[in-house]
Amino acid sequence: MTVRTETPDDKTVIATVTVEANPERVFAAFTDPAELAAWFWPQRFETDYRLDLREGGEFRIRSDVAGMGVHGQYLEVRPPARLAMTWQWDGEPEHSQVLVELAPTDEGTLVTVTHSLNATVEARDAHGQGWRDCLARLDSP
Amino acid sequence: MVNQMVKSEPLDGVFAALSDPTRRAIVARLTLGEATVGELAEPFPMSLPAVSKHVTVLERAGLVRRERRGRHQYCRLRAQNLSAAAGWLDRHRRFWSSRLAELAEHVREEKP
Repeated sequence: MTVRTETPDDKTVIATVTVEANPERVFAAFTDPAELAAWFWPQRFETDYRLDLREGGEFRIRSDVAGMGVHGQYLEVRPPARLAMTWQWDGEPEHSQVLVELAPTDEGTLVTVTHSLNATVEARDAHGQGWRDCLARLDSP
Repeated sequence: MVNQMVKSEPLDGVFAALSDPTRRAIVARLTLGEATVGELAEPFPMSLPAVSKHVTVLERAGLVRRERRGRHQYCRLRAQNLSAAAGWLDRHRRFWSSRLAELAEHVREEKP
């Protein structure tokens, strides 16, 4: 198991790893609170995981013991292949975005996490608006 | 305020300089305050000249300033040059790298 990282530009980190499990299992590891709790932060952090797993739903991961947390909104929930969300560390002004892509391979699943920094709040909001518009269109008869 | 006009060339130097664990440790030590090259070398199983070379790389990247005072050379962090973007990238690279390693362990352990 080797985690590879690359930084294609000043605002993007891409991390990849191949894990020995199928995409369904890995998707659950990212989206089920009990599953996420098993690996995301050390147990001693006593982290609280609140995930409203639906597009537009919010997640909040918070450890009072470690004094850190992250929150955001799910932008795309497509089991078992894609999960996208906005990402903001508690107490930090930067808004960023995380995309998790899961692709089946012979050995298991190729996990690709793309974490990109939104240049401005305006860009983030514009993106959010565009996404809301798309959903509205999907909903209309 | 985040500098939106970060030039890529100095940033490349910053990333290259921070791609090495010894140099990241040196930077971490200097966030606590200035230190001599000798003091910086203490935690590492390497010679003073080897550590000095690492300091030179950090110096060229604009991250560290070295000053001779009396018999000693003092190193200080040029924090303003550790730009917001560079800090962000490095932090998240380390974050996801360590988290995905945990994920791989977790899903493998539970494999039937």
